[in-house]
Amino acid sequence: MLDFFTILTKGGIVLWSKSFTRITSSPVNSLIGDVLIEERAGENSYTKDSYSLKWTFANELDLIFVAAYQKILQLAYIEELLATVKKFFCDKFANFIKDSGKLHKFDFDEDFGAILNKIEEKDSKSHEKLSKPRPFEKTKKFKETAEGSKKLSVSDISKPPTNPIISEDEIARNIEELHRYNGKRGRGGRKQSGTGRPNVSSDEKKQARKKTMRVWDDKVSKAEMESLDYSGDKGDSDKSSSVDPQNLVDQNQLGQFQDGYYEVQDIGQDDDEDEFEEDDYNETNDTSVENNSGSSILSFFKSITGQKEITEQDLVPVLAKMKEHLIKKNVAADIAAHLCDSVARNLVGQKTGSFKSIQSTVKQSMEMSLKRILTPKTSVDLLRDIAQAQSDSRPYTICFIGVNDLTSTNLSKTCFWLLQNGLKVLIAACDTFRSGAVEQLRVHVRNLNALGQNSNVELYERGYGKDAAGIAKDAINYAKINKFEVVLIDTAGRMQDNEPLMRALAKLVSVNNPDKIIFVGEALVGNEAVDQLTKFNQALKDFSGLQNPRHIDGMILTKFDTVDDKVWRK
Amino acid sequence: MISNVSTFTWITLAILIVIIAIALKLKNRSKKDTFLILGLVDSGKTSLFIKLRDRKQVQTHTSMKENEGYINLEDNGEPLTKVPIHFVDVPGHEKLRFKFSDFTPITCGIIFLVDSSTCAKNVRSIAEYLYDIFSNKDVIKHNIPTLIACNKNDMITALPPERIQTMLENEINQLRNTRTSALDHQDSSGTDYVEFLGYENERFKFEHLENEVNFEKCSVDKNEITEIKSWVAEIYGRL
Repeated sequence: MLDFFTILTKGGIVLWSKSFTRITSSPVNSLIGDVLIEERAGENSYTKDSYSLKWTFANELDLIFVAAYQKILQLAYIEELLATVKKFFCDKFANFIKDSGKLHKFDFDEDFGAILNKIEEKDSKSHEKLSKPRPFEKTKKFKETAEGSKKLSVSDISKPPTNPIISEDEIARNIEELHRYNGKRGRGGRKQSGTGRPNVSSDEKKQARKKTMRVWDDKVSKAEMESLDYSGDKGDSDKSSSVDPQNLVDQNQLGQFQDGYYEVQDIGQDDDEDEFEEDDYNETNDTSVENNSGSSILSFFKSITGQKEITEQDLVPVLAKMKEHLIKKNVAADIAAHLCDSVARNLVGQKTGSFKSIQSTVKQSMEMSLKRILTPKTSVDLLRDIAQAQSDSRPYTICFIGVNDLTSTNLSKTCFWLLQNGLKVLIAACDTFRSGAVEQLRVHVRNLNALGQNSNVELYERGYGKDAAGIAKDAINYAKINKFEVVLIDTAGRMQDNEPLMRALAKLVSVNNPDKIIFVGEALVGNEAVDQLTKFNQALKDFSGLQNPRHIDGMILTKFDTVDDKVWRK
Repeated sequence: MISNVSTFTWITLAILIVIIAIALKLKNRSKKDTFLILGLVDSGKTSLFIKLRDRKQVQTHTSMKENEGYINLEDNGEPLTKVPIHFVDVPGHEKLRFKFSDFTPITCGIIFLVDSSTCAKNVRSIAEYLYDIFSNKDVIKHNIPTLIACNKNDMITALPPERIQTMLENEINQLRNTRTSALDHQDSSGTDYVEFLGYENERFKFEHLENEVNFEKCSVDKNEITEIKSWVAEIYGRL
């Protein structure tokens, strides 16, 4: 049954604990590290190793109650147990706990034993009630037989008959959805190999363009053939060094070298403060104060001067407004809901500070949670990691993955920064599907070499149609032999729903084990990004076949200038 | 007329009192009397805090919130300082570490705990945390003295403080180059300039820093924390 039960403060001090068996790992530490600090406190349970943990907070006393049991069991009474123990413990020892100056010995063993026994008994009784099967008369099948239909009960008649005929509106709606769904799939279908998906939207696009006369015979004119021929040495990398750096990049956009370090040019930032937010909150402040004075004068004064205990009802309007605000600023709906849930859980029962309204307390708490979520767990010091890999005498590999083909451009941008810091870079063209991908990278490499003074970047490619994982492996070996410091792997864009392509990607990752896997997304895509990222991550985990699968390490969000207005200004 | 004068004097008296009260409060606020206990996860900060406060050994888990309190330091029953000292134990989890910068304006000393037995594996994280602490603008401005206490000295795999010092110096030496050429953070509030610790042409050593850095060994489990206590008493006595 229950394996152990702990009561600890949010500062980490264990006030009371009881274990019924020997605990192997330390699941409570993992719980705190993975869930509570990550602001996933709104979830129901957490599983780690062989334990399943459930928890609850007592925010007014800064306590956490944790119960752990074997993951294979399904104990329904744990939540009730947590709630009962919480109430009991807080009532009995509230004074001791508040006196945080000293440690106390909490004599809770017998009380806990009594509560546990009572709840277990109640649970086993309810189980017995459920296990008896219903008599045949009460089942649906009986009612459908000849005998049963004669004995129509009152309840059956009063229920309105279920209409098997779907209305016309529903049919129209369904058809519309089907079209939309096909269109979306069709767009993705263009970029996928092998699977014969209907190219619905690509056909539509062709028809929408101006109607040029179609040439049906297979003869291609010589002029066309010449212009379409990109293979061979025509207009190519090493020999033609006639690239003028001035034409490539506007000199003002390049960063500067400061004290020997290369500093990237900042995007023009907006200095306007979020004054809009302040006005908004002032309005809600007034309305809520009015409500309180309507209820009782004492609580009105309390809410102004603070010391009012926060309840769920108080939080609901404030959090609803906060959630709306987040969604307006383009945070995905379910993530906003999740976040508000977690903040609510952390705040219920706490007292507002002096002279602070509920809004400002919620706002503060939300800021803290957001800051916590956005703080990276591991260091983002790329240059340091590269130096570390060098000391292990192997190249540092970064793999760029994405939905549409943004990877090449962003790979080149990253390459530029790395080159400015004096590193030797090899680009591996593992996008063997899209026509022109390798040539695109070749052009990038040529330009990068021309831009920098001592740039040392090379392209490793093996043409089209080959296995990406094999090319990547060869590229890394080549880099090792020729002492390249960084290898950037470019992969083909793929939709998150396309299973064979996801498998191929997972294979590339598990074979080559890159140091960083970076997902390149565009800011335009909006809430779809949530779906893309979760599916990509899930695919990497599922199809890798390893014990400890890799997942996405970082993300580059590009085309930020398109959503400029929505995110940075009002 | 007379009542006007008396009300006038009352008003000026009241204003004077208010001004004096505010001035006193401001003066008190700028008093620095806090010691921060910092360190990585599992380095023993919360245990140290409880040991200092209650002289008891207690089971702890990862802290989610900071522990603070006024503690009377004593050594075998003898008080080391006249007044209780304010200690703050800031959680070591990467996502909660940034809170220490809330307390640095009132800090007069930092105790940084290092787990000597796992130090070799975590050298990079320790060095990064130390780099963040030493680059903090309050630490630089007030030259806050730091004690790096090598905890868990009783374990077999524990390294001596001198070894740990050399390892950290090497690591910070490399870090300062990569940190200063890294891309800007989104939230670089105020100073965008990242500190370069130590002297440019020489390898980094802790003695190059303006603030005082000491290395000591200790073991919270076995109650060998006298060095920490005497260091705190000395720093506090200097105020």
